[in-house]
Amino acid sequence: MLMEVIAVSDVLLSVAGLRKYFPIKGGLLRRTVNHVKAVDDVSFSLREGETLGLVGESGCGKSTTGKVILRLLQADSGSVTFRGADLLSLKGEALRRARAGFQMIFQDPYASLDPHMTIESIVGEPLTARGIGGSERRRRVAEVLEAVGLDSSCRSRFPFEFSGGQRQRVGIARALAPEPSLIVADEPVSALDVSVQAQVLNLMVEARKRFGLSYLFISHDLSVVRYISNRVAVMYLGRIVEIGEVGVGPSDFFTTPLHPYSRALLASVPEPDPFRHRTRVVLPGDVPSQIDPPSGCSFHPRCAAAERICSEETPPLREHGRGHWVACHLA
Amino acid sequence: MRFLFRRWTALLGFLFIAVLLITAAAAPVITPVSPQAMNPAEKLSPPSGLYRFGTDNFGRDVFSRVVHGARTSLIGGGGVVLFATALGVLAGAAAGYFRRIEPYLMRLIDVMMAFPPLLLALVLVSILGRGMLNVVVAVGVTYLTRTARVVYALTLRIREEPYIEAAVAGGVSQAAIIARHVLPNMLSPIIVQATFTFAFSLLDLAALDFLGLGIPPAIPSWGNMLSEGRLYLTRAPWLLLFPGACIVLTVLSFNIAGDALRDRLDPRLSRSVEGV
Amino acid sequence: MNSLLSIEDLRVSIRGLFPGTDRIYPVDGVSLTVASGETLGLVGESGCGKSMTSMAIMGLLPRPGGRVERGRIVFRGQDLAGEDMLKIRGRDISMIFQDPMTSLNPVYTVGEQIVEAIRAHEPGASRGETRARVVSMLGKVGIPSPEKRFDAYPHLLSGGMRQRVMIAMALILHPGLLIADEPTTALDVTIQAQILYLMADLRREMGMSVLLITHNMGLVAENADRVAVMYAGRIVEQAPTSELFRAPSHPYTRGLLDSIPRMTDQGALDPDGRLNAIPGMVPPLYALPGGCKFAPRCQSRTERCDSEEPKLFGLANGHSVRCWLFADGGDRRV
Repeated sequence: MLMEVIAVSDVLLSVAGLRKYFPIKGGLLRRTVNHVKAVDDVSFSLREGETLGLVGESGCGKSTTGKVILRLLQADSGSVTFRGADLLSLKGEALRRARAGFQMIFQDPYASLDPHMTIESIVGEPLTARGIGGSERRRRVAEVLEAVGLDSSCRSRFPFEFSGGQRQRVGIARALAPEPSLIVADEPVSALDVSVQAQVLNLMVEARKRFGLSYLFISHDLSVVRYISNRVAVMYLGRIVEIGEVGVGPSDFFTTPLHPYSRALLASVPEPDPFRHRTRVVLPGDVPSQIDPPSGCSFHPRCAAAERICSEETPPLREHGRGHWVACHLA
Repeated sequence: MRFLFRRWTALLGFLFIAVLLITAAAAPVITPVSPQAMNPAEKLSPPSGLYRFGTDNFGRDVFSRVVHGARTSLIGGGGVVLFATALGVLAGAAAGYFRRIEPYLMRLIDVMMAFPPLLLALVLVSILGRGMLNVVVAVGVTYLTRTARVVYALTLRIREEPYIEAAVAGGVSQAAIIARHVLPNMLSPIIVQATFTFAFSLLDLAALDFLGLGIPPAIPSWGNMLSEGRLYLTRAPWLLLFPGACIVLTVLSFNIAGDALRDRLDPRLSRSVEGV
Repeated sequence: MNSLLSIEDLRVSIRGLFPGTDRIYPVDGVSLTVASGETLGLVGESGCGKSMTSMAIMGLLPRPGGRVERGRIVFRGQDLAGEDMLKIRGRDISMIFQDPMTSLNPVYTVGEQIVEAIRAHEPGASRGETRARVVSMLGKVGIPSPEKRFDAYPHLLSGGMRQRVMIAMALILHPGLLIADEPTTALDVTIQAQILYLMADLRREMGMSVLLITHNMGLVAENADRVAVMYAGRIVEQAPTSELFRAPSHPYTRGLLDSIPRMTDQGALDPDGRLNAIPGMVPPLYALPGGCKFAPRCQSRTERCDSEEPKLFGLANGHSVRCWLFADGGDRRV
């Protein structure tokens, strides 16, 4: 009971009915002929200090969701409430000032650092943008560089002098610099080598503790998500099909996935353990187009258990046991 | 082997440009003889100890005129580069950044690019009249279109870079993003483009002079010298040889220098081994 | 064991990264064999030399500058250094790559591209007959309505379908060896599972060998018969798959397996719940340490590791390890 009270009062971010359609232009007059439904009616919330893993395959809309929340893309409808304030209505100067509270870690450690800037100016840029300069800026940059395990002698060097793992540390330091409470991490370790991935994941966990952060951790890698997240949301064709908790006994998402897509996804991950016996669920077919998603439950053409209702009605996200939500007629 | 060859040619190119710059700057010191001083008694005399490049039909020292002509050419070419780069960057960046004006601006530039550069310059000069400034503007207009296209393409590419998105996420203002990220990342291709603009504009400037539509004949320029010297092609070939060679070597040097700069400044080209 | 492909002491060099720098050796002293019908997994991180090894087998080292400095590559008893390379490549040994989009030519239909692969080796083949062959192959790799897809351009197909086309092209001449270089890295997990299933089926059906090159320990665990782990251009451990995962021996292999978050248990975590990351990073090829290449990152290194590079020491069960920890008991040396 107590847990729930805390949970409700400590909501950091809540997203409701979020929608983002990308227009497809066609013809001589470049008119909008159709839409890619990248994010379609997505709702979830994130508590203080919590990490929510947002998983799904390429094109499922997970990155777009992150960017819409961070106001890097304009939402079509829905609401994003961050610390009680409506993020989607912020404009101009007010939005710029608010950005310090929510930062982003990017996937590509090469392209996300300006090659012409020193590490000091990259990490310090969000501070400069808020009018923090001089010794205060230097102190803060030194603090976050130390937090990500980079020597302060690297401040005057350029990104090309660093390996992928070190660059990603710089990217994390940049996100930490303005003292945010939410970080959206978009595939932060998928461009890194296996032996470096673990270092960066450990670092992110430490930073979460030290700075009291919440993460929206976007990834296609389920084992990474399992390690770092408190809860997981699975997306398929722009919609969340399941939200579950990680590592709490029988309601653990990874031991009892409810949605048939989640089950197939979990079964598809190759494990470095040749002795593990498991049921292979090889999903037939490709992910359908987001322009014309299948009617009803968009997963039904690939679903072995699909019934008539699945092609007729879109299943709503319903709670099945504490904290475990699933959008499936048959669950 | 090929690499060594390229390095040597690049070195020679830069060396020639350096010599040219010094020559232009120190012209009066190098040749105390005025390029205008006539000596009818010695007209059309071949290269000798006294007149190293010979004399022309008025008995003027060709060496002195070539050296002072370097000045004219560098100032002319430099003027074209400044004009074309400044306006080209402005137009290209504006088209890349403000999607509303993009179709109009870029179509206008396409139309301008449909004319042969020299023809366009000829038309402009005949409207504006002769004179150094007008010639520079006329040639500059033909080259600003090229710079604008390059900058337009760069702007479109750079504004999609993740580091721009990162700056937006960090709360950096639009103006600061252009000043701190977009422009610095365009700088090296713009410099490279400028060297090519310089080389080609030199040819156009000389051609305008040659056609009698460029810099007034009183000012020594390589183009003017060619124009006047062509009447004496068989009797005094040195009148064409020296200014002609200067034009060829200068254009060549700037082209080589531009190539070398491009290789040096573009990390994708300077990386010789990939996928290690 | 009759070996289909055997590589003996292969050393490959390429030009330095910048003009004027020394040559570097992305593959140095690699020996391995692939038996008939076997899948050998070659695993390692980027820059470990696994892809360069496959390029050397295919005779596709970067030009100019890439060359085999030492060693032999023998396929069905023939040294591939000879003139026959061109005939063998593409027919008896074929390859599929990570990115199915860039490996297909966008201006030809997928059918034409496979037909071309046939004609390169069978100039006399008739049009109608090759088309039928290609259509049947497209069907075999699980492409729906292959008759129609024959005339499709690559960009009309999804990533998974394009990789199926690449597989069809690679297998159309019934090669003895298929080199699959990160064949599923660009694909989503559910599509990855489909492709690996397909490859396993076709391998059994056609009786070919597969050299599976990947960075993913999970993929080799599920798909390879034997595994060779590479680090800094060298094979550091080699063993049958079950043996390798039962008793990983090289500190690098152990570190790699311990650092991967798991789906089923949390066994890999340290007491504080952190992942057991390998400290440091892979050394660049132009600045390799003198002794054991893994020594600077190794928890169990000794003085000897810094000064002297270990050989591959043979253990029981076809297991060999390049680590001084396994040098004692001289009879175990290879």
